[in-house]
Amino acid sequence: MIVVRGTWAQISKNLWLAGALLPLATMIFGFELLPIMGMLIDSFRADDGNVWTLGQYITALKNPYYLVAIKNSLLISLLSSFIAIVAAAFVAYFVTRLKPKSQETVLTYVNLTANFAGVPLAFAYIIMLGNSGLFTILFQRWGLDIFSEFDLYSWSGLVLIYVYFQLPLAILLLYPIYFEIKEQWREAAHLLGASDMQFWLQVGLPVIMPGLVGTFSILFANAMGAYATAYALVGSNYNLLSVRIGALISGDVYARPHLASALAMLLALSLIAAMLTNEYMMRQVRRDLK
Amino acid sequence: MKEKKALHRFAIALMFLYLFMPLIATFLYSIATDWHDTVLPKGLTLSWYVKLFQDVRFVAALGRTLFACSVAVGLNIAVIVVSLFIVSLYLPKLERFLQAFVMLPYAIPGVIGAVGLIKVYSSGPLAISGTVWLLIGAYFVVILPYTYQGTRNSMRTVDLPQLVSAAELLGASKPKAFFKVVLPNILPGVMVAALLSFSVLFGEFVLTNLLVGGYYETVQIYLMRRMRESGHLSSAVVISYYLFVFCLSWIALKLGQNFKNGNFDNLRGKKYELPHYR
Amino acid sequence: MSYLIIDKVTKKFDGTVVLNEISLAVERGELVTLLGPSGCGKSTLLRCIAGLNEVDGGRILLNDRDITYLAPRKRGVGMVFQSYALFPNMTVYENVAFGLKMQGLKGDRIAARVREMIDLVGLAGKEESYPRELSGGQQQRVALARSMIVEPDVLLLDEPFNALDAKIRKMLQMELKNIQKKSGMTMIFVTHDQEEALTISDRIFVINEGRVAQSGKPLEIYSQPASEFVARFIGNFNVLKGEEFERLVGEPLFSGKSLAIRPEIIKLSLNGENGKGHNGSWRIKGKVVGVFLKGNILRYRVRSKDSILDVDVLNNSMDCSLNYDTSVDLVIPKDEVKVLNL
Ligand SMILES: Nc1ncnc2c1ncn2[C@@H]1O[C@H](COP(=O)(O)OP(=O)(O)OP(=O)(O)O)[C@@H](O)[C@H]1O
Ligand SMILES: [Mg+2]
Repeated sequence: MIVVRGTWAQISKNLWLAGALLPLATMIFGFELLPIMGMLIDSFRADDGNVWTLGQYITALKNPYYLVAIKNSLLISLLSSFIAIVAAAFVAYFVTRLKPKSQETVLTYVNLTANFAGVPLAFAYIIMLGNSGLFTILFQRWGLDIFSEFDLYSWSGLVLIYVYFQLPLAILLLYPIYFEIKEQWREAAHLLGASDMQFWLQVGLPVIMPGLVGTFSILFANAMGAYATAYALVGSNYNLLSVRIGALISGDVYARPHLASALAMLLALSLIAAMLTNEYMMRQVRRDLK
Repeated sequence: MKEKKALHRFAIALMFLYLFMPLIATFLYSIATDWHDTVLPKGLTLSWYVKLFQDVRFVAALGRTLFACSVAVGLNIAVIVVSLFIVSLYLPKLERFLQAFVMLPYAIPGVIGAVGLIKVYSSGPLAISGTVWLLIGAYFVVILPYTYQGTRNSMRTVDLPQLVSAAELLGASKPKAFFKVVLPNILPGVMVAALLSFSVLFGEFVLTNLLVGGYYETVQIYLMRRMRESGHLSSAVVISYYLFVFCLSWIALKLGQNFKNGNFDNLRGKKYELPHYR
Repeated sequence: MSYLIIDKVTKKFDGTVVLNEISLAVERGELVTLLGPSGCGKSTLLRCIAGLNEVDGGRILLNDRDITYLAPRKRGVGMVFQSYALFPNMTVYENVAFGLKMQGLKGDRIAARVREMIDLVGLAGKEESYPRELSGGQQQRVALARSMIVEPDVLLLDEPFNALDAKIRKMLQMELKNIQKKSGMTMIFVTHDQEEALTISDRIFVINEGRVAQSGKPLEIYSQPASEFVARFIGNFNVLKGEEFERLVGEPLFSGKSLAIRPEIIKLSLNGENGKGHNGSWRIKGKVVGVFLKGNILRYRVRSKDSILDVDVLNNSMDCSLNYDTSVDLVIPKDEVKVLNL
């Protein structure tokens, strides 16, 4: 009797628990897992949705239009991440040399600008450097010809704006990494005859390298997935992978959701690849971390 | 030594110039009467802000944004708090498993998410594509990492299982323990997470544009559509938006400091880790 | 002229004087110790010698060169840190070879020297390990090897054994002494542990508040403390005011001075036993008010006329220890009572 009653209590309790967890499970399933699975399946279907095929991937990788989009995305992501990380490597290091109070203040302000991205950012740049932007016109009147070449809506404008939203992120990510370098390593190195440069090459950089590489891969992923800023700046005109994907699902005229799925899968793969490269590089650079 | 200090300061100042230039330009533009071929604006005015908040279309967009964000955040917080309460009390082994799913949205850019969501919800039994409900569902998932981490951290800080046992020993039932003891204790941390989530969603554009762009005009979509019409008006939108997000962060910061439970620091640390404006 | 000369070196941090015109001289091949309480400026002095801190005044001469304003890497000074400061990204071999590489020497030419040095500190076989795979004692050996291999004119060691447990610490003290004698390297060793200082040094500089309070051979310092500070810091001396002592022994001798009496030279006997006092010593009566077991030594705290004296006796297991309140006689040899200058 007791056993049976116990079992009943057990079962009703389990039911009750399951019921309480149901909403979260439903939401995760419905808006996270189901869409991912749907996209995965879709990417292997022909445009009519009825035939299994690798055709979408072939189109994505053969059609020069999409190939260029992929190439552009990779390029701008690598380039903007590189510029941002180099600049941030210096700035973040300089910040660590300030007084602790000033460090906190600087980081707070950097954090403030880290929130400035997407449509508002594109807009701000249009005001400053667009065709009739404040600086554009000022530069024209002052006859600064170097700037007359500059076109915000081209590759260079896009790089400028990508670097802008990568930089604060890079600084915030790199800043804590410098605290891994102990002051006494520097002192020991100097006493053993190393110059500043030699210290950085032999000790400083190797120590922070995992952090640098990790940050780079996050920046890369950030740029690869970026959509709003580029879209707001140049609409669907500029050929980037994320912008292409967006156009393929939202453009009513030439919506091709299956191709979009394949491109989205490729984008996801590039992010995973970045992550794996990160881990691999880390192990190569710092054998002692194994 | 001294020389280097100067170099450091100079580099940092240069960075700030670069980072704040767009904000400053936008701000000046939003309070300028007319400004296109002079170094400084011709006159200053607040009329763009007045105009903006008299614009029915903007106020409607603001209302939509607030609605979608509030529903998503409110729903999410309720679900996460209850679920985490149960998981950490009865099914602690499930936590790692849950975490994997909950943190996944961090790693998925909005465009990828949009592709899948449109595929699932544009046809079939649940054709809610183009409605605010799809948007709310998507928002729900986007902020999961933030609310999950904030809530879990505050539950850890108060040592939830022990707290509940203590309440029960004093004669409270589980639900009573939850409402009378647990909730008041984790509330500050949860509030911080909610505010952070809210400001994340307020700046969301990718999912909004791709999922419901044509049918449901939020502030971000409004800005996108009008920014080429009137620069001054759009500047006012940007600055208003930015001030709003700033206030949210500030309140969150104060909350976090007042209650000294360290949750905000954890969240801030997380926020540094991965970007959320895709 | 001495090998290393510190001449009236002053160092301030934000206006507070940490080194106050400190002067000292070290001979070639010596192992000297800077001994002093925490915060007295020992590390600061080492860092000034190494060039890691700039001095605010005075001169530092090493091997007839004025190195006061030289960059650290040009001074010919080596340093071993308390926290080892090994480069985490390098193996033991690479760490030890670092200094030679910085001199521009190439791989094969330094291999023999590096291995020899690793042998010397007893780490053969550990060449390919990384610092975090080593114990604290092993890490400190690597640090020692790394600094010694470049044969600095003087090697500075800042409380190098502090993070290690007592046993390994004792062992490394002996090894360091041996290595130093074998290599003939000049070393300055910092510690705030008087026992360590007494064990390993050729000479000791007792530092207090940024100045040298006393210098000399270990035995000198131990048996002839020059000031109350040194007496208290070095040997748990009983330090008494002259008037206090006069009351105890009933002879007016030491007015206005301070006296130091080592605990182990006081003889302790039960009342009445061995009744007569010698010519060369005083005899006073007292009561045991405390007993402390310190391994091979028993320390009795004895009260006599409002004065407290510590007395050390060998912990001979045959003797039962005396109980509280036992009345005892203390015999103090007259020539062991040191008059302090300050
Ligand atoms: N970089 C610095 N800035 C400000 N004050 C300092 C600095 N370094 C040392 N001091 C101060 O100088 C005094 C002497 O410090 P030092 O490290 O030389 O003492 P120490 O004798 O080595 O003590 P310990 O035995 O604790 O290591 C201390 O009061 C310390 O607070
Ligand atoms: Mg010290």
